[in-house]
Amino acid sequence: MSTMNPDLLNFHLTGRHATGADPAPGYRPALTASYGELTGLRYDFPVVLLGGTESPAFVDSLTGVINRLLGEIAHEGNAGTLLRQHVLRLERRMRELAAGRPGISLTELWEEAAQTLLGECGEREAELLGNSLATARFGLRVDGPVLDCDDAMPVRLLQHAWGKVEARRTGPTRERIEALIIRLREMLKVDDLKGRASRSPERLRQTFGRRYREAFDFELMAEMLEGSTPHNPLPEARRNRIAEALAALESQRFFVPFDGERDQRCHDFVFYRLSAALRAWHERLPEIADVIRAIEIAELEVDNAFRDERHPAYFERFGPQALTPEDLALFPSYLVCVRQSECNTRDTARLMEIVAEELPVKVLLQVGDALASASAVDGSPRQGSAIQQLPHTFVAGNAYLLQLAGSDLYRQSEQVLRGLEFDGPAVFSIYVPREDASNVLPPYLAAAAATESRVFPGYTYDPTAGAGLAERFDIGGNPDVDDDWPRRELRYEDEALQTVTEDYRFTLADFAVTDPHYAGHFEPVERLAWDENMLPVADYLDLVSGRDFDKVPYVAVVDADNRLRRMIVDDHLVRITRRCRDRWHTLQELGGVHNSWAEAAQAAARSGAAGADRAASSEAAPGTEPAAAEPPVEATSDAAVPVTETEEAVEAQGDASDEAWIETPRCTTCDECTTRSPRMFAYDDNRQAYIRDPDAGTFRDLVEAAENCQVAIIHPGKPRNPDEPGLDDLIARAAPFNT
Amino acid sequence: MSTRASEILRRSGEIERRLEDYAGRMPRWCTGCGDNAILAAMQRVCREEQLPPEKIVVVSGIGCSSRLPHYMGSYGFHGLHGRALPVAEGIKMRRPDLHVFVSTGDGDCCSIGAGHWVHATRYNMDMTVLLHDNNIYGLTKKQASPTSPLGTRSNTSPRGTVLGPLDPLQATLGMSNLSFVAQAADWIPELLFQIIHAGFRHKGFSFIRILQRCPEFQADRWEPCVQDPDRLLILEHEDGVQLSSSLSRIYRNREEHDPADLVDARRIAATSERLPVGILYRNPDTPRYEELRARTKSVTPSLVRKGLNEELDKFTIWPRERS
Repeated sequence: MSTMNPDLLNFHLTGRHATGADPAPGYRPALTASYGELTGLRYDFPVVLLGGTESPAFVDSLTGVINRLLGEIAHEGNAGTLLRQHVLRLERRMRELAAGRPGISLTELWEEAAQTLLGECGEREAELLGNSLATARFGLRVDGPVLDCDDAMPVRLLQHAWGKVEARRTGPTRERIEALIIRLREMLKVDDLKGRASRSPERLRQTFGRRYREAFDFELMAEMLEGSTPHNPLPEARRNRIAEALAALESQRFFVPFDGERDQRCHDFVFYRLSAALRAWHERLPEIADVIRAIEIAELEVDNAFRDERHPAYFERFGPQALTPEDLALFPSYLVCVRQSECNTRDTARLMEIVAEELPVKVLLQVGDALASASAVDGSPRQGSAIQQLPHTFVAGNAYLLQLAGSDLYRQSEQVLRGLEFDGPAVFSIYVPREDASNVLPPYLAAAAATESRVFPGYTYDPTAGAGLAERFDIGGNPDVDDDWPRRELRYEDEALQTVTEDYRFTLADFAVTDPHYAGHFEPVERLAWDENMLPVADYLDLVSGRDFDKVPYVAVVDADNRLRRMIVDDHLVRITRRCRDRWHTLQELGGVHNSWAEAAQAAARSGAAGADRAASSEAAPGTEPAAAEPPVEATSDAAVPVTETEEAVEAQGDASDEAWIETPRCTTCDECTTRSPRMFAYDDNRQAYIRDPDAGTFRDLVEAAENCQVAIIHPGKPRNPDEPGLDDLIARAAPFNT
Repeated sequence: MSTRASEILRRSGEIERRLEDYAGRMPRWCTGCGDNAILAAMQRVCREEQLPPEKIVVVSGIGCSSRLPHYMGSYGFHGLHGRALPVAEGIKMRRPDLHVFVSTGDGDCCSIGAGHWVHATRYNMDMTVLLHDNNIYGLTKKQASPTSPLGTRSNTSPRGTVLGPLDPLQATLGMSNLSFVAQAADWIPELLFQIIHAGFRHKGFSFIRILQRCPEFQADRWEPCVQDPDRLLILEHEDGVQLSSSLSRIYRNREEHDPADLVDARRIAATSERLPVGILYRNPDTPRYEELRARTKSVTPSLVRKGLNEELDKFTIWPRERS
């Protein structure tokens, strides 16, 4: 016979309160009881957005900025300690002021906090404090907008980071286009200066200073110059081609001119609707193709490598269909910031399109209601519940996925950066409780609680991290990754004012306490009515049957006065919690924790080893097949390959030759012999002389050429015509050159 | 940045360049002049590297040597006496994509242009400098140059020069921020080509002194060396030049010399009885001025205008505020 209070049991089973009314709100999860006021803590928020192009870092925490500052200026000793105390006081005040002041700059915040602090203290203290703060202010090197962890933060942070990444990524393309524009303009200008138009009286007049214009007759000058023909003008087709490419580059709308301001002309790449971003992407493809074509033509033209017989046909066919991922990677990526609550099923399809087609679109999917998808079980699906679940399904695709609670955004800024730098789609699913949620916790804490309760687990899927899921998928950012629920210590005072410490596991049901929408699923129980049949939800889910009629699940909460209470959870919410745990199990498997494949393989290996041990202990059974012989190694056929000699062929011609010859490699191209007898001597490919035709002249010609050769490399040989007059003398003169 | 397609298009459109593609006007040097050999070797280097002629600039000063740009089928700049190097530096600074050659003579470089020579060596900008050293002013029909041997009788020294010659090799090896120093002889085309080629390949200021024959006005100067190969010392090294087997039979005086060894290079230049031919010194790590001063941004007209306006704004007089 159960001792369970039937009222509580009935509530658990039916979800209906005995009184018919929902309990008064205002309860908080017991584990969050000690975090009422966050401004007294030094934690990750607020953060400061960092500008500058030297470092890729785009964000720092206020705590980090102050720590670094103190590290530089506060030294050991009393003075340093005082300085540290004063600056930390200022930091606390800045943290208080930052809440609700989105986008205020660090220095403004500093000044404001300093003013209020100084206004509060006495004259003597104000002097000391003023000195410390002035010293510290002088050492402060960074500035930028300060953001607290709230609803508006993810969009601002992502936009800032995206802008910085894009500036760095597209900088080289932008610079190349600028350089090409300058070069193309110069080519046209030079051609223009060489052409007839530049010799007109008006143009000639413009080239002279005003003072001397009267001294010249420009009409006459133009007439005289008219006779001089233009020197090598650019062919008409080439000039037009250059002008067209130049116009296309000058009118491109993708890159802000290097030294110019962003103007109306430039395309926008930040969108707030998936549909608008996709439309822009498709509409701009032909423009991208035009720019790429212009770049390619310009590159060829400036290097004088454009070939009229080959290249025009390619460029005629070039269009959006020929764009490669490398081409597209030169252009800015798109950033779309959407809220889950504003997305419908068509947006879900659009997100799928972006990921499936690997478009260079970065999507910030801001989740304001972490339980939206859980409530689908509730029978009343909330807006955006489908799209919130979508990112999980992209694992193993070629998109960068990052899911995290807003409270982790600073800690995981590296991963954000990697996603933005990834050449392809990236989805950032980020949870920050929406502004209008009547949440009982500060946004930072509520966001952290969503991760803690596995409602919104953090993970990264980085396709560039490696080939396998083990390298690509990471759930390491979650607490107690190996367990179903994170285990925490719950400390409280009992009636006897003694400290009691319990292990308590934080679940979805605990998180649901913070959401007024779920208030009806809980029934508070006074302390007097507590009994041993009440189990924390996590323990209740661990029961084998999952439905023990003796037990009811509860969550530990505190009321507005920080008194510990238990609230019985109805069966409906328990189902949602169980489903959340199952989803977490799937993520665990993907992340390599309790992987069912690995465990099965391990079990098989273990049983296989045990079997092998057994086989080894018994006698070798007859008929056991001998180990298969190794396949014969193929003989490498290296026989009968003739060895080719690379030695230089020995010169066939020698001193004893009767033929006339020249030591061509030693010829110095001095033109002596070729001028003397151009038919007999000629130059080879290296402009070095050889005997083209020994019969083109007389033996006398040969001997005289040998005598006049500056480097004495002509060898006349023996006369070919025995009847040539004066041969004896010539043979004697030739002798020194034949040895 | 270039797209994959433009790389393919470029390759597909490449044409084989021949020696004639680098020929300019018909050379007007005297027959037998060593300058012809230098021109031929330079054209061979261009063909070997398949350089587009429109990417080559040959800069010169004044003298027989400095007529060379006219005979190259490339861009050229026939400048003022002694000023070839500053012009070449300006070109390299503004257009680092161009291949710059400097053709200069012993008068042009070692006399009126000596100051530029010292500083161009120190600046170490990427260019190939060919010093045509014939030991005489030939263009103006025989006047003594700084490298003329002691006692040279010429129009300006009828009783013979009274000062000993300046040695361009030793002088260069003593300069600061040294990067590449070699010596070649115009009558050994094989080595001349190898040395100019190595100088071209070297990233930095490649100074090549070329012993050049002038058959008209200084015929006796190098003739003994031409006739007697033993008067030369060929510096061989696997990182330097290497003689072919046929030339090895002629030039028997050879020495292994590592171009990385500056002390040994100075010893060879200062003490050798024979004229060294080969690469004396090479250091690819010497800092280059054009790299140290490379622009980080492209200079567009609007950037210049913006900069000018910022400068001019410094002199703006703001109306005094009324108190």
